[in-house]
Amino acid sequence: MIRINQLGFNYGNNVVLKDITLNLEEGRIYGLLGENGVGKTTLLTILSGLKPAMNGTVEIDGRNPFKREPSLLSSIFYLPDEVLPKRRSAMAFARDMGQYWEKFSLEKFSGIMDVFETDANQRMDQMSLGQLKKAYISFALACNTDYLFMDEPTNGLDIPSKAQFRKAISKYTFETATIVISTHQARDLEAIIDPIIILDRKSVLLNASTAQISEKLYFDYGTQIDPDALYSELIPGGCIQVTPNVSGTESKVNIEALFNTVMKNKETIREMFKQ
Amino acid sequence: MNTDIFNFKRFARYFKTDVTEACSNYGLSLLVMSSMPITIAVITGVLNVLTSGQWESSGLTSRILLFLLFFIITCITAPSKLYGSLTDKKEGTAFILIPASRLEKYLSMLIICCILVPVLFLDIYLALDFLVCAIDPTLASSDATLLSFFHNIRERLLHMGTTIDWNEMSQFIKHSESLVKPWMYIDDMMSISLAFLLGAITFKKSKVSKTIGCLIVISIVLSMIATPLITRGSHLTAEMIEKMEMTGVTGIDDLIEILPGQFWALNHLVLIDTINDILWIVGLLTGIWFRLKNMKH
Repeated sequence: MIRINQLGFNYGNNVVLKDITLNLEEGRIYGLLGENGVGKTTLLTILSGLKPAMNGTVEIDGRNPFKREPSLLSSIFYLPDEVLPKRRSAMAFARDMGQYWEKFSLEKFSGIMDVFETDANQRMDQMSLGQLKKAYISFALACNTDYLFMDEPTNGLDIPSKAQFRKAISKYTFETATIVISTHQARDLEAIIDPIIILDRKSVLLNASTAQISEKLYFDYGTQIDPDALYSELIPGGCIQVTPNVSGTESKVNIEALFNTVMKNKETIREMFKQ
Repeated sequence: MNTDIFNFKRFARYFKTDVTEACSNYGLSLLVMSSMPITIAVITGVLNVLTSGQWESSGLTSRILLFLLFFIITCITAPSKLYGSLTDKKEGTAFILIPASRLEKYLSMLIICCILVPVLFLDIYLALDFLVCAIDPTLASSDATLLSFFHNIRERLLHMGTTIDWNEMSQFIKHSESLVKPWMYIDDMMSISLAFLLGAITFKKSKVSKTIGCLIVISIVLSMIATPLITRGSHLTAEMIEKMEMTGVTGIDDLIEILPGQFWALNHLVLIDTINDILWIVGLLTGIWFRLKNMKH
């Protein structure tokens, strides 16, 4: 269980996170969305113990990640946006580094590399950015950690690899793991992330499951624009618009439309989802 | 012991990983530096053949100087080659997130920088120098090797001590026996490695030159503080000069006798040097520990 209470962080005079309060439960794949510079990466690095919380507290299983205790570090894996090309094969890297994560499985690593159709015996410094990313994603999933934080994991992946990534996440993460995926490419991960967290500059605008979102908002894929819609956008063959769900009709959540709705109606959405 | 602080098995595993990384990042450079006896012998020999038509290798004195030069260069550059990348976001992130304790990472770093690298350098360098001396006919003497020189250095200096007329020498030379104790050089070497290790994990760019700059500034400040303390804040007064003129000063020993308070530092040279080195090492070890503790990415 991750408890974030009134978290604050700034780079000099630039306040990035302010009064962030969140609880992240086990067995969920959280999608962390937000505009550039709202502190998504900063939040993930604080959760991983790479930075200290300047204000407030962050606790993972009741412990401060910045203390970097090996027992806690071995239950966390953080996959940064930019990964390191080591001077050895992905298999050798996995075999050596995997020893530090108690539940690491080399077979699982090979299996996920197969899903990604990437040669595990290729040297990492000779891989393309996408191949390297896939090797690290495979390693991250093979570590079987209780907490997995991924920053823009689909950056650098080609179209088939994005589908393979979704498949790997669905197949190879275990049920009790808490996964937080920060992304700008919401469509890539639409099918797997639930709940969705949307960060604004300095606060949490939305933290809700897709069921809760669909209960409160209606995503209309029609042809006529409703002037009272919270958000509407023309798409080929019609339009998509988001309205308050007054009738209780279920609809498929479109993350991009949701994001734009939230950004356009911050206070309305905050009030709507106040618990 | 709390396993979150230190676990021997995990430390062994981490140390093995760290050594593997060190070999990959610095192995070749270390090999090049420690293979210098061969390079020097070949270059000197070829130059001599070209200029005088005869194969002739460098003498012992120049080889000692070159050895010291390469040894210092190795101690200075190794930490930044081995751990300098920790200030880089990707490398630093990977380092921090390895599930090993801070103490384990710290110890591994110190063992590699302060023991493994210097010992490997010395072993390879001295062995190759021995080999060169064995092969090269112009160096065919058992005393010509660096190994025999360092093996006999203490005896040589002590022998020099017995041939000195102590009445003619200033008092601090009388401490020559203490000055050749090996640990005095080991702690100096450790100070160098530690200072450049701290620089390597602190500065993002120009790690070596910035560390040298900091050491110069610190040395100036410390000497400004230490000089009045050592000389006890006093200078030669007119009264002292008059006393010296009356008794007749002919050398430094007379001066020490007349002004013992002002020259106590000369009599305690070894003690002062040892305290100075201990303070430096403790300070640097503490600095590295806190740098690791507060490293952020």
